[in-house]
Amino acid sequence: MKRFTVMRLLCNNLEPEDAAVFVGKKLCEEAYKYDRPGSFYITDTSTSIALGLGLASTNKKRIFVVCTDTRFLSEIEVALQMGVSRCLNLIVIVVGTGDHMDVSNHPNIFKSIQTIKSFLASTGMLIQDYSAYAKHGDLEEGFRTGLPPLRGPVVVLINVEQGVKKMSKIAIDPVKLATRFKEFLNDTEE
Amino acid sequence: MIKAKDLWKFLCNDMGVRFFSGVPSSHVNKLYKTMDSNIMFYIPAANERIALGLVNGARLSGAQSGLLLDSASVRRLAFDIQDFNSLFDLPLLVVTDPCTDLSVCNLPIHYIDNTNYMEAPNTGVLVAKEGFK
Repeated sequence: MKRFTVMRLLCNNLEPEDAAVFVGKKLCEEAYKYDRPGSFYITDTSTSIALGLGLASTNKKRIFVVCTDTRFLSEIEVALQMGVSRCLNLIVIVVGTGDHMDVSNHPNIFKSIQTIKSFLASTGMLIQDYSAYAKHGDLEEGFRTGLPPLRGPVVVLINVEQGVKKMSKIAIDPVKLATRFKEFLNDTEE
Repeated sequence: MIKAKDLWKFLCNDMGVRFFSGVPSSHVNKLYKTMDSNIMFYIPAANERIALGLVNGARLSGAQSGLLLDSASVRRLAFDIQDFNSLFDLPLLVVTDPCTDLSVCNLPIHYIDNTNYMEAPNTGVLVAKEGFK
């Protein structure tokens, strides 16, 4: 299963009240095809996963941070902070292939780390691995049954196949996007 | 010199900024020592980037928030602040000391002292001109 398929399944299976922060240019474009009011796109900044932690600390809605393994590695220190935060509404989804798909498949060290799950677990985070679902094409079922009861702080790992699809660029002005996201987060009518 | 306790009262009670994050530093030690958990909420961050992310996330959630860092850290973070906060037009409040020159950072800087801190805006970098006591 390729990453753009994972994005489609994920966006379709999020609850209407869930907020999702997508990180990385290509990944954002893949998710933007299934745009929803609770989606926020960060194409390039170094404080993106920590932003999700800030959102989860000050908001009751579930916050999904969706990033590539390369991005997660570059902000790996935030895992320590997430673990001790004990934010029940923080869910980090790491989608990866073990290389940088967006830049000519340059390898990264994510799969070379011997005990990534143990490392994340020792920070205090929960770990869920949906790679088998993705491998066998059952990811939709996995999301349908697994996402609604999911409570954090949790890292969901999903290994995908290589391959990117050319998607249209994000057509929302960043300021309007931020305003829309703020309104979504502050809309507490349930 | 600004009385750290008075500055906290102004920031939290008058300005309504109650969510803070930062990284410990001896330059802003007085501010750490005078924090009051009854009027504010502080998350100690593992590094400056995480602190910035936390504060920006809180702002997006609608909480008034501020960064508490030494000026050297602010200088290091200047690019990230411009990158994210300018792009999304997200205001940011930073409270810092005067030890490092921040003029090269292209951030809105407001120098405050014991006489004018009550007029400080709720965004930008608030630099205590003569430090804290």
